[in-house]
Amino acid sequence: MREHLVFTPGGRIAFVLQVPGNRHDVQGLYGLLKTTFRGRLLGDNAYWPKAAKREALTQKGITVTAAARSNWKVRNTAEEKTLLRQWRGKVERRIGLFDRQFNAGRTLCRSRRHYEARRWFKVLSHNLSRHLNRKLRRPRESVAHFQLAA
Amino acid sequence: MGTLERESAMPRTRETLDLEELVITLYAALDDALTEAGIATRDGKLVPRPGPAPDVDDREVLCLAVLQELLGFESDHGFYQWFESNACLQQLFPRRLTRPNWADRRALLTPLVERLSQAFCALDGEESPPFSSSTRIRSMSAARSEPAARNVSADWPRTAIAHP
Repeated sequence: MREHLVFTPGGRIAFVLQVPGNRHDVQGLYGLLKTTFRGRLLGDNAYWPKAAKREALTQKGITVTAAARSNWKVRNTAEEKTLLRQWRGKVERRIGLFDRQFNAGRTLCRSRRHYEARRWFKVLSHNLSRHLNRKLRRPRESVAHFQLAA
Repeated sequence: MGTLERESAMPRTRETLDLEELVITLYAALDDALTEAGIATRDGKLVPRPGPAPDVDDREVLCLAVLQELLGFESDHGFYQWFESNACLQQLFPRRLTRPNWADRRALLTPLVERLSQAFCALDGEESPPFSSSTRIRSMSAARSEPAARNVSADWPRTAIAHP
């Protein structure tokens, strides 16, 4: 199982999508066509949609800015390159943090239905912890004080 | 209890929370998110379904499922054992489900969780999807991208290709 996370600029998880592990990354993007998600996405070069899907994504209200390889015919503008460079590290760090804080690398359950439920609850817990930290005036991305309470 | 009253009841500057405070804070925050998302409880059910009112309210299941993930329990079994042996939680949640029922009730709430996650984005003033233009993400790069300039120096020199 491969999971695709969509982060908001402020570090909350806006959407999560699971696709089979042997599918290409871009299938995660196409999978969003079947969901209620709409928005603007930044991704690496694996998320570059093919022309036929690009139209469908635009109609759905999903826009993508993805990195391009040096040997591709299309190139991003300088501004887009800066944007991708600026955000990529932040997103990678947030994925790593989510993985570590919520045991995202290991989820034990009986069936796919329960697996998906737990993955969504991890996302909800992530957003809720950030919300509570803001209200309780704690470090924004910490969950250690919640775990200490138990 | 209103949002402001709950906020004032929340501990603000103490170093540590205790478990009871944590559970109450979680429950209040989830209640705020449910209000924000416009989800109401009917007969203890957050997701409409046939049948009588459940013994354990969906909000309690929601709160416990979030607590499980927040405290980093890997398995349902581990969490349920801890939950069964914890006096504080037994006092806060006197009515309990069996473990398989607990997992099923949690799975039932999955469609709700997406909306609640987005409600927390909205409560924090986060830009929920679709992100507004202030995000500085330009739209659809492929449609406007500049074609790569052809590298002439990399071409084979035409004169060097021998034609029969």
